[in-house]
Amino acid sequence: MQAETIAQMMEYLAEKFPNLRDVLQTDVAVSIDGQIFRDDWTQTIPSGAEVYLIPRIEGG
Amino acid sequence: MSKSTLVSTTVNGDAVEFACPTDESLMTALRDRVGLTGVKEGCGTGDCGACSISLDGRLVCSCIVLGVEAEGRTIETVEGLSQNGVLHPLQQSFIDHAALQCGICTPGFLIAAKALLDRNPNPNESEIRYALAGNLCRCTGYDKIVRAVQATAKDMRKKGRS
Amino acid sequence: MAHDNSYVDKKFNIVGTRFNRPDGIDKVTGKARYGADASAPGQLVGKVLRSPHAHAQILKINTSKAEKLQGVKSVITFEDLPDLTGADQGMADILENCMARGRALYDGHAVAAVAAIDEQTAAKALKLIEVKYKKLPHVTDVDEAMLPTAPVIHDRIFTRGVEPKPTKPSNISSRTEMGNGDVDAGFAAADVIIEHSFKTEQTHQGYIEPHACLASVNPDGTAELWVTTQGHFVFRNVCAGLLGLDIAKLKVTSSEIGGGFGGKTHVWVEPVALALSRKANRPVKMVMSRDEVFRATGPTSSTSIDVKLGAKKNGEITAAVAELRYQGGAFPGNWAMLACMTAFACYDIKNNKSIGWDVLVNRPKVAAYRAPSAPMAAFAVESAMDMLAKELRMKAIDLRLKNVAREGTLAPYGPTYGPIGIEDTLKAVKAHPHMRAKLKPNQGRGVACGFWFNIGGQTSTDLNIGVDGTVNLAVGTVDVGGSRSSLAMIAAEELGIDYENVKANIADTTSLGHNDMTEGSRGTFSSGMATIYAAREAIEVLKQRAAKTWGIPLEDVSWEEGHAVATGKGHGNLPKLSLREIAAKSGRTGGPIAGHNEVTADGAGMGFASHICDVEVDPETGRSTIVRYTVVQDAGKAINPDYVEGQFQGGATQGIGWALNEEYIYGDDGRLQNPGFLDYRIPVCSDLPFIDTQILEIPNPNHPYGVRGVGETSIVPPLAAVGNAIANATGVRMGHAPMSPPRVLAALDALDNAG
Repeated sequence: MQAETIAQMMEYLAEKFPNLRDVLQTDVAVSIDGQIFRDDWTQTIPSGAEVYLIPRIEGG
Repeated sequence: MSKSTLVSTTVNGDAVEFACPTDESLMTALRDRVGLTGVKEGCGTGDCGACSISLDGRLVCSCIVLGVEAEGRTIETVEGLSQNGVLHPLQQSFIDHAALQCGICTPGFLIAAKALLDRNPNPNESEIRYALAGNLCRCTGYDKIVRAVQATAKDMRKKGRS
Repeated sequence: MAHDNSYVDKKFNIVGTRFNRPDGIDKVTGKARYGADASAPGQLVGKVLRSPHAHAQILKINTSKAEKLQGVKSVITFEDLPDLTGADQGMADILENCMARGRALYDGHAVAAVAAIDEQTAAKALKLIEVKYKKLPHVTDVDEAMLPTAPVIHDRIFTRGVEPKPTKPSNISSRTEMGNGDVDAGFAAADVIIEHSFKTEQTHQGYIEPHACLASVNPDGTAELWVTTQGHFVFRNVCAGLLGLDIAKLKVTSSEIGGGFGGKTHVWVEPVALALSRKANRPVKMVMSRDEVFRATGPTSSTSIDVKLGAKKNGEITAAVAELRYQGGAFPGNWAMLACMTAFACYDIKNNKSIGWDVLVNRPKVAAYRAPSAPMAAFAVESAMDMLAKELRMKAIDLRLKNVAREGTLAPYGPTYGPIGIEDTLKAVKAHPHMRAKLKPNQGRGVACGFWFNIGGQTSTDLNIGVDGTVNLAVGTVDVGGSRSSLAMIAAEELGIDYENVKANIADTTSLGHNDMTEGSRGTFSSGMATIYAAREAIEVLKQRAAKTWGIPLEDVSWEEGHAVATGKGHGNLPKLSLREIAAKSGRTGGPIAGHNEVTADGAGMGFASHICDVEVDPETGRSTIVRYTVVQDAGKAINPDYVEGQFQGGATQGIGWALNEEYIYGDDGRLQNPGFLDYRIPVCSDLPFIDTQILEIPNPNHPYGVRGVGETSIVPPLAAVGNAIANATGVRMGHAPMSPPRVLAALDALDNAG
């Protein structure tokens, strides 16, 4: 998959798996090389980075 | 609406009159009729101590005292602790020792701690803990509160104050 | 201006020392105003009528008699809160939780509300509302709710995460599975296997201040809300959405908050108060009673957890499996999924699997409670670790050190860890004098570790410099525990001025951009980061003003210790300009001087902690007394150590209460039997000793000062630390929290009878 930012990656996934679109919008955070990004989808993804989709944690 | 009764009291050294229904608590009367919102409601059933006041020198939960019971009596709330803008040693000590986080229980603790030091200027740790067991705190774990009271007791004894 | 959030090691003048908090005087004199301390002219008292049934069809609500009562100004039901949520099921659930829509889903569920001229009239009006209920079968236990025979609460719930997709609805909203490696192979390779089941009861955040608000809606669609909350911006967005108001027209002001811990991150009475005010055209004040807080706000999950661990004789854990069943109340939640992420997070276990089941029951909608879902999972896993250590004849602390997670370890939920502090906390515990203190008869010592994510989130901050050089710092993160002090310290540190010259305030929603809630241990982390950047922007302006004043290029100006300094050739004779001097001239050099920052503060670190607990168990009564307690936790960088210690001690105390006494007791009728502080027993002063703390500082590489959030982690280890201490004191392994005197006594008796 080619994606330079989180936003591009999310759009690609939403198109490939349409029933995930809502979940991707609200319930997901992204880990790039171990650093977790909850909000900023303009974040760039370096080439070859390890990317994980994880639940969007809140807290108490 | 049930009829109100006129109540005459002394609050923090001043003569105060208020009118309240006979089934209204002193806590509500102090907060809503006299405007002393430093008296806090945490439970309304005498279990948390947030509404602690001194009534004729006795530590009570104002939520389980009726407003009309205050007739002719003397009341001390947290608002009366400082004199002419100078904080009571307990108030200063709580700030210095970081003995408050959210602060909702603090007025009640100050009144309870003062009641303790008024009758026992040299309490040990256990005596402090049991004297304050009627005041609930959910933020601090009580550690810094006890330290603040210990420090104040020590300072006040040194200065010969009571 | 782009900002770099990388950690820079530096020497601090103010950060790391202990300063008195700026809001301290108001709080010790009673001046500070909390949710119930505001009033408005003409205000009405709002009260809610609540279902006395755990599950019931609402056939009819007749409000006519209540409406006719003299002094009643508005009466509402769900019909006054039309569903504007569209396709957003999450918002629809919030709306239905605030006011039942045809069906009462738990004891205490709001059914109608009134606003009247005083308390007595409002109470009378409630009694005049006639509600016809048809009782339905109910279920309140998490395991019972999963049975095929259980009454189904919502027929739209089909379990997600199960293949093939279920054809019948159930109370299981989702199944989650995560992990790494091959657990079957791992167990096959194990010399020793431990298996145990655990149960934890429902607890409440227990903040001493009940929910309270003052709502005022005008006919032109503008409105004001004074409210005790962990996040006034989020409350604004949610209330505006539910009531069909424009966001910018709803001004929400955060009062001081009397405790939240996650329980004030959701709305309950606020939309109701706004709806009552809209209908009555007068301000409405609503204050929840303690009974209502327990029955009808957001307690945490009750759970049922199975853990299986396998290890080699040398202590290397070869496989770990956890199955975690969490109830989220009467609406779907993600609590079990969250538990899966934390269960084995402290360890490097190549073969691990966590399965989570999110379940519905007829109880209030669960809300977050300080490190949500982690304490229960840690109770199970950390208890099992001690059981495993015993089988292996290893010291409990050594088994943990042998398997500890480090930088480079794969987290159970996927990513690889950066620098983390769990090993350091365990080593610090091992070296701590508490571990060598002598124990008396009937006493035992337990250790346990725990972790919580920290989050960043959206933050907006304003820093304005007055003409006398004193500074206003406006932040949008509610101050739950003293963060105004830490934020003022950060601003003073950056600007190079005295702490006393900075005043931090929590701004209302009309004065700043969106700020996320104070939750996820993010308050100091994120507003601190935004404060640093806002201060650096202000410094750029200060330098520009100095450059203009001196008539030299901006590149020749640097900022050092609160002064603009002219550097470079030929400027040596220019005297330094202090912040105060530059500010005094600001009117003539371009106007007010300020710095501003919006940031989504990502890259929050993780907080790890290890605790040591000494307990004395009375064999006659089963009562456990904490005789000594130590918290060791990694804070990254402690801005104000006094307040970091306070978080450690407060969280540990909540965990101790959860471990020993706190639980929701539901009757067979599905009604909550102990909705008050007398029978819902939180720790009191005489229950506890002093709580020792040790702050470790392993810098978070993604924050300029290395800060990690600290507010939540310390509630995670205590349940198991206490359980392990009790096991060491008595030989009895308690698998059911709270480990209250009757339960411990029963276990001791069983041990006696068996032996």
